[in-house]
Amino acid sequence: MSNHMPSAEEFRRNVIAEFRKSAPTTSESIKIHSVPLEVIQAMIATPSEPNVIEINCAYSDEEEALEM
Amino acid sequence: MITIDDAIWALKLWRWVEKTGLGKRALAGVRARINWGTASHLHQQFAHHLRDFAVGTNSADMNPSGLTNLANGCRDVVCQFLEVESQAVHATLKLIGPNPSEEKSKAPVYTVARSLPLNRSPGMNVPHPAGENSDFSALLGCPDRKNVWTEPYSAFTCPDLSANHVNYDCSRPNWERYYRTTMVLPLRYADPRSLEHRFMGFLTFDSMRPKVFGGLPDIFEHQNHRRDEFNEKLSKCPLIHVAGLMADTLASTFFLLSRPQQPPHPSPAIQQS
Repeated sequence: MSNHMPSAEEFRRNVIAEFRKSAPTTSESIKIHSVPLEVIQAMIATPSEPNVIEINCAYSDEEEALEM
Repeated sequence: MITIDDAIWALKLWRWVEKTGLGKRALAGVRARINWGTASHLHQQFAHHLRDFAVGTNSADMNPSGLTNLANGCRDVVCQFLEVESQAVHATLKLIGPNPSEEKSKAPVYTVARSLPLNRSPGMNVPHPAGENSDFSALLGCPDRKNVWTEPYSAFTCPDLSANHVNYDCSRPNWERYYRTTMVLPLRYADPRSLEHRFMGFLTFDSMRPKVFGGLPDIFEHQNHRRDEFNEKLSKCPLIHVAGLMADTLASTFFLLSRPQQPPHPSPAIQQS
């Protein structure tokens, strides 16, 4: 392992370069990994669960309550 | 009244203290104190909830309550980092379902978990096409109904969406009632063989408080071939790395949970017999 401690400027440049390297460069290099529908459906909670908690809704208002 | 001379003198004194052993120890102590809150939340609110979700999941039960805890954990880490109360930010986990069309803009995006308390009615859990939302479209590099995102962005951040309501596209027409600022990260991985980036979903944070996410750049100010400049600014923001750590870890877990089950390889001992 190198004992070289990068300077603040070197570190900054490395972070930016690594960030750029890890990202897709063109739309063509992006593909969708679709998650199977049965997995998604199993993940989504049954409607009765969240509605109970909606009472504590941070931004709820009368109109939103009526929508439910 | 502090004069410029006082400030220069204080700076020189600080630089001298910084070089001494005592100064270095004091600085390390201050840094540790600042990092402690976020580090402990990443460990206890995010990593523990992710572990509990993964362990509590099997093929029959994908553990929805574990997912809600996970969304809460992601929200808590960001709130701790920003030093705001947990009600100030709302987090969601979204996954992309099967897309019969080849077009990315038609990819159906499902919300599978929301942090509590909810900031809106959960609705009927119907998917929203990626192309009806600027945040998903910008990350996938496809057009929405108001913008053409020809280059894929690494994250979608906009400190004040209300100032950009003409440009911001969202399936929900009354979005301004629920949030004014947003930060969206991709759940993605790079295929080691083809080097293509595969997107499976999104980790989103939003808030009613404009600019609550600090100095994140405005994506709408960086359209038209200014993506690299946006990404460079983004990479200098500590919050995006904290949120990115969570998004990348979530992508690893969801990848393992959603890939087709492979039959186990027989061990060499079994092959020999």
